[in-house]
Amino acid sequence: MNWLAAAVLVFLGAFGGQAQAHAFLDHAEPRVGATVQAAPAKLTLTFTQDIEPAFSSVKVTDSQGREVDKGKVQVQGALMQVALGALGPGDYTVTWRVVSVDTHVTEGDFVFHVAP
Amino acid sequence: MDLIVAVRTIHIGASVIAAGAFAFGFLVWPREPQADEVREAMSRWLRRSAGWSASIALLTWIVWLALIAATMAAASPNLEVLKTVLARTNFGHVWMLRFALGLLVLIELRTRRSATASAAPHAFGTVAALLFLMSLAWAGHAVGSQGALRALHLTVDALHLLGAGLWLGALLPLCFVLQRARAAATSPWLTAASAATTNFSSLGVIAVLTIAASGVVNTSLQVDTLAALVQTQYGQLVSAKIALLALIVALAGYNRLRLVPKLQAGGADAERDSVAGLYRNALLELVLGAAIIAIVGLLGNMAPASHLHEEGMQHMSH
Repeated sequence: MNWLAAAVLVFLGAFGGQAQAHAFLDHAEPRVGATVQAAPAKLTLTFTQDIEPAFSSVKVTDSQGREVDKGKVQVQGALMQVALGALGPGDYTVTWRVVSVDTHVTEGDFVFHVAP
Repeated sequence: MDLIVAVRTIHIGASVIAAGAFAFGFLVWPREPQADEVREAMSRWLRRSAGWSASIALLTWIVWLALIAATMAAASPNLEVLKTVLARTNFGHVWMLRFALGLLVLIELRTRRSATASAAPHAFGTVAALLFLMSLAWAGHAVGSQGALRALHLTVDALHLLGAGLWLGALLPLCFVLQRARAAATSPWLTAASAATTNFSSLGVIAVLTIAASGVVNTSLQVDTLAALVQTQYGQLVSAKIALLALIVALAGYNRLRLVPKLQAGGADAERDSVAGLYRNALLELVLGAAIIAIVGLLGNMAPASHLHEEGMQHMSH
């Protein structure tokens, strides 16, 4: 029985760690789906693990599909930031794609609103 | 099946076999002088096994790089992409280090063609082959751990791989010795098989303890994910793995408690019977071990679905 218990622990242990195997979006600023009163000057995305700057990107577009971010994405650890142009009231879509340091790719999108 | 899964599985298997071939020569093969014919046959077999497995490991490592580069860039991997991956990503840095270690292993095999299966000449190669296997941890999920736990997680994974290399990897050459002893039934091969089995048995205990200890530490780091492991497809694969390992440990326990003492006690009939039994069990353990490695290759690509956040729409494309 000791062997079996050890075996169970071993394998739960070895692969329990893989729950964090991909970099998922932990939270964003402006928040996902939020309506903000003042137009934000930058977008900040925080992921569940460190990401590779060379292969991670984010784009913010307005309801007409025009890109409103300033393009220069900064990545530090699990944090990704991009400066935004002057945003008028309306809906904005954030589309991101990141590669985690353990090489997995995740992507996603969400919307935030700037109140009139 | 995903190509990356197949490549990862073959790579892990080949790395384990290469490390095992060296570890066997260094730790399992008896120190006592063996008959020339036996020593030479074993030495030749170990060199060939290490050479083939290390070559396959290096080739699959190159394919792995190409596949990862394609995934990262979401495009076919041209030279520019490869350069960026190698120079600017964690995987790229680990890739270069492991490639160098793999080359060292092959160079060692080339330059020591005349080496015997005795311990001393293989120390350098053994270290390189074991580091090659252990450094695989830096290409895996542990590297994604956050904060202070990262170093611990990496160390634990590296030890886990070391345990697998020592145990599963050295099992293949042991099968060769047992098969020879069974087929030849001449006393030099039986003597060698008996001594090697005894050494392997001790090594096996250390390897299993290493695997268990690294697993326990890892579990204590990750308890919050246990529920997800039970409920998902991922969890079911892990359960299959646990069952496979339990079978291997049961077989190993039977070998150690029943067959090895019988072999050591001597007597021609008892020796023949126990060698035949050990050979059969070792083959079975190898098959189960290969299945475990295949599951490891598969799990490497997955993340439990329960981990998906509420933060907008997001998905994994790899």
